[in-house]
Amino acid sequence: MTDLNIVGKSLEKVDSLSLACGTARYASDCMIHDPLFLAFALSDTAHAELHSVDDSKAREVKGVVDVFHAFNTDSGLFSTAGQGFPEPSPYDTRLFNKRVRYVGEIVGAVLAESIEAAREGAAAIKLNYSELPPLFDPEKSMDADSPKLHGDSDAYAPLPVPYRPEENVAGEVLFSYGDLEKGFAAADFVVEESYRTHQASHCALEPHNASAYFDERGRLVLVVSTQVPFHSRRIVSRALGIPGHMIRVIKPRIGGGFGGKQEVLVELYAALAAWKHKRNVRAEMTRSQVFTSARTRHPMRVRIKTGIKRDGAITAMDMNDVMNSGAYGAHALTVLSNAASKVLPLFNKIENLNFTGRSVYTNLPVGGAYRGYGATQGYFPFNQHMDEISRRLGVDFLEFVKKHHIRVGETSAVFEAIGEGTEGVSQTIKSCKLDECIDRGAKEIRWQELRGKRVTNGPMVKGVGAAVAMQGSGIPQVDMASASMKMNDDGSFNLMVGATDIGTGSDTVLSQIAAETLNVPLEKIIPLSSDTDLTPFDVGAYASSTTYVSGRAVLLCAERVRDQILSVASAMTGTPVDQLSLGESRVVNRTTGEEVSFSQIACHSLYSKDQFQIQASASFTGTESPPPFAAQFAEVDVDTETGRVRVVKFVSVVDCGQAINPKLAEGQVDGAVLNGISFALSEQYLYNQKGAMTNSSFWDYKIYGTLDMPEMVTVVLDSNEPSGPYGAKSVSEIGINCPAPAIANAVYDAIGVRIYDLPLTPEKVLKAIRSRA
Amino acid sequence: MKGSFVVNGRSVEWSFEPDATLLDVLRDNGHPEVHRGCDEGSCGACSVLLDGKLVNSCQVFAASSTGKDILTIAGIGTIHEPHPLQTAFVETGAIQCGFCTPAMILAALALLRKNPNPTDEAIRSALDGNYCRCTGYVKIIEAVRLASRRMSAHD
Amino acid sequence: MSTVQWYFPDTIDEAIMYLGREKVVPHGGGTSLLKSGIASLNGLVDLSRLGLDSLKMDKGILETGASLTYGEIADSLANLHPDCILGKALGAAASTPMRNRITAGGSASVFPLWSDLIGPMAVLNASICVEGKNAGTYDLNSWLADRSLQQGSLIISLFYPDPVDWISYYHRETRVGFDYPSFTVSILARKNGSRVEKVRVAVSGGLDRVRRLGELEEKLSGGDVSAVDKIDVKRMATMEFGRKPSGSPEYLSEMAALQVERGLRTVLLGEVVSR
Repeated sequence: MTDLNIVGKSLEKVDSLSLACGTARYASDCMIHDPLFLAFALSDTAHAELHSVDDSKAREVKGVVDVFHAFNTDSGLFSTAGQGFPEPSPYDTRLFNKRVRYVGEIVGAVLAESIEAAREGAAAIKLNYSELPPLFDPEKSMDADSPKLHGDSDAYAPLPVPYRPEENVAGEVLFSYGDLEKGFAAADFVVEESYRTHQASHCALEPHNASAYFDERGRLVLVVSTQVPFHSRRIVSRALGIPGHMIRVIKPRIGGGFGGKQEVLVELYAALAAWKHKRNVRAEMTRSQVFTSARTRHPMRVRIKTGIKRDGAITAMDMNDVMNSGAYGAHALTVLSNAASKVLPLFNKIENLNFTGRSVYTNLPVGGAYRGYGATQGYFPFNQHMDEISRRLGVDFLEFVKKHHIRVGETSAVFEAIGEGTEGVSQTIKSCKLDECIDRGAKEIRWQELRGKRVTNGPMVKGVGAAVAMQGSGIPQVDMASASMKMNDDGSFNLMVGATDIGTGSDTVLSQIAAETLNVPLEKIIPLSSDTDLTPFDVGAYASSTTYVSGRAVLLCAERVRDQILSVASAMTGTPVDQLSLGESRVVNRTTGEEVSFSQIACHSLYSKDQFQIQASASFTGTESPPPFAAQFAEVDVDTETGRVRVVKFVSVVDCGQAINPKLAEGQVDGAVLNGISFALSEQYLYNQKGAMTNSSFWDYKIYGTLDMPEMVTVVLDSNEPSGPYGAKSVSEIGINCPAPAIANAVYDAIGVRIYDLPLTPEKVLKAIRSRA
Repeated sequence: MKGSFVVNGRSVEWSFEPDATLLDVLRDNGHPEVHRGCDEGSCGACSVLLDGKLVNSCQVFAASSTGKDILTIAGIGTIHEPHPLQTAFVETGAIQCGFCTPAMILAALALLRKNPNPTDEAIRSALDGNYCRCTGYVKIIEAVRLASRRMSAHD
Repeated sequence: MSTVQWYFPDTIDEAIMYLGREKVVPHGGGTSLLKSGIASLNGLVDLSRLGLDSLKMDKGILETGASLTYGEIADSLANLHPDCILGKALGAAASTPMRNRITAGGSASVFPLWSDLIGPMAVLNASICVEGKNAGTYDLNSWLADRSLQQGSLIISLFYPDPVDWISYYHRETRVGFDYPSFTVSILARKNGSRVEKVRVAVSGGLDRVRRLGELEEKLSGGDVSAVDKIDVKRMATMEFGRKPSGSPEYLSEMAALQVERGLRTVLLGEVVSR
């Protein structure tokens, strides 16, 4: 790509000054008149049949206006997963369920004149229930004698996908090619191990919240901290029976999402209360409720059995995943399918392959979308397993990866086989600089000097480890994005997108694409996202789709606007369009050098003759999902007396195609990396015997702060994806996939102990060191 | 109860409940730039400067802050006339979702007032109570470094 | 609707008068009160006008006013006496904004889980100066043993005899940088060449909250530094722990003993194990 003016430049994020100055507004900041407040009552039992809810004490609390629960509020079955329609997730929940299935489940909502009264009311709700045996172990979920969470309910899957609640199976993915037995028979040796990834909270700093008010015509306006405003409107309408045309969802600035806000939760209850009482309502989860009652990263058990020949060929692989969906099946199928579809194609030369994956119900907090979306769960085992295999072969891990990874011009049968609730889409790789990622990263981490050297300093031993990954760029033939643009008389443009900037910088990236196409400075593009009344449809911020899918929609839209500009300029100057070119904010006659400015063109179209507004809209659905690639490296010091693992340095090298804004791309990777490191080492959900989370606060759920950062090096390579807008692929998710496996591989490099279960807490590592000794 | 405060240089008198936190009172009185992230003193999103010291406003009773000087992000610069820290955060790409940003900038300001040329270690230490889940802090540290250079050059 | 009454006394006597009333407690920085809740209280006595905010060193005795925050104490000591264990400990506690609210008096009143004050107080033989119903000066153990001493009384200041000119070592066992410690190790030592004149060691966080390791101190004081290699430090430093989010009782117990040993080796032999 040559001669780019705007794309490829680290321009300032368009909303950043407002965020730095505190003028930007989040959902809970919206000014609404005389609101009522909503507080949630949560289940204190993991599994029980509710007989009644005694709300009398709650209603006696001064200021309490109403109490909602399963015995006075009905709703149809739906899924809270903010996905395309019909959703690939089962319809297995109601607003309030009479069978409660985990500690933390929302069993009541109290509406009051003040938040204090609402909370007091929520605390006064009494549940009358008979306890049922709880199921906490996902690996026992499918046993014949295990409690069945949804077995006798009317839950169903709206898409024709495997869904067997009578077996606790919330989703199933089966796939194979070749002949596994033959493959294993041909192997010189077989490696088989089981790995476990754990549950985690997104920890977006802004808790889930929504504000509801009525516009002058009595329509319900929901200002929501969401990644999926259009899905939010649809699901609210479905769950509450409010006509869609009576609901407007506005996404203001969002205080982080990471997948957690790809879920329709708080706005359901805000809408319920507002609609019934025709009063404005604010609803916000407490931090503790975000931990227990919003969504989490699905834990996964991955068993991999691989047959290898002495020459390094992988003759067979059998991967078996059990994913803990928690009490409800939000994203139960699709996170699981991504654990295969975003992982297995990376090594596309495996001769015979079988994948068996099941998502199962347990009486624990619900899983959901979380940055990485299954790939993170898949790459932890995959990279450790490959590290193990390369060691047994006596070859360098990096060389082993290079021998096996997918390359330009190649494909994988997995692409076609596994989609998201549907078949997948076949694709051929058009850009892959994974070798360069590996080489550059190896240099940055000093692989040659440190790998296998076990440099010691007293009880501390140093190791380095690596891991590689790919992701996708949207869900092909599923994710759709639209954009519209109009030209103003000063030559500026309004860009309306449904694409949902949740802090990722997509308003900036999409504006850069529009500005590049129209050859105007960035400030001439005025982006607006997202508002179901004002902006066109977009599925929302997920699946690493925005830059690629929404970006293509914006590109297409801007090209249509450009064509109109040229045609008006042609009419104005009497010059055929083919003799005209775009200059900066103007159209130039290539022969005469004559120029008309965008402002003149816009004014001409608006005021002079054959008036019309230069404007266009465009939609785009990907027919492929070009994967970004990454190689990530950890240098760790392991304290062999305490088991503590300290990441000294972390290197990420990413091929995300042409970075539309390199600085923002780096920022996406940096953030994903530190989240990934703290996921690997310190974050964890702790439960008591009753299935109640015992650390639902930042005091005991430890995420990384400034004191914990290792030296971080992030490199975004020059690359180009032919199908992407200006050569771009996605970048937001991939960086979180490899911190855990790179660290685990580094720990092995240091001390020869492999940790199969996350997180790598000091006590666990120490125990592993001793059990080896 | 009632109490007067000096908020961003302006004297105000507000009524509030005796158990209200400074965060509640600020947000109830037109200061949504102070963000609520956890309400338990552990995320730092609600930090303000109270008599020049960085505090979690969710961990301060409003009643105990009467008569005191409170600085929020809106008091250090405006969108039309931003403070060098604000522009440094913008230029370095230190802002993603921005929810932590106002408090993070105030934490940096408290540091630079005390220590105009901090080491990276001092920067990390001064920001240790302010979580950011978006950036990995890399560019935030860079922003404080940049602002420090610019502000000392200006002096 | 809270009905709690705020009092802003100007004198200690006035403060003590309020504190004599039912369910009326002092307010320093408010961090502990916000954790425990104030719904059941009748009154809060704000201490900010009492002038309990000075840090004095007089004849080798350090006195810190009850209203001083961790941040203020740590900053003052970092300038005046950088080797003082109290400054090191309080400067590492919690986070910057929390250190600006947590007061020494508040901590000495409740010694919350996350306190980094108790270990240094133990090794520095600190005492707690109280006015009011139970006016007097109490050593840490008697203070901890009798919570009723606090009724109708107010912590005025904390005294630390002989707080400086020690080789000091402070370890806080945390999961990440900003965390409350699951245990702390405080060590003070004075050496003359290779002779150990005096050693003091305390561990906080176990079932005992804080414990001075008397046997260990005795075995090491007066001998050669090499004694640390000859005696069973870990045995003498082993104590019982409860389960914590950061680990099992067994693990924490073992780690505390290990960190005592590491601390002693650092202090006595100059060995450094980087963390």
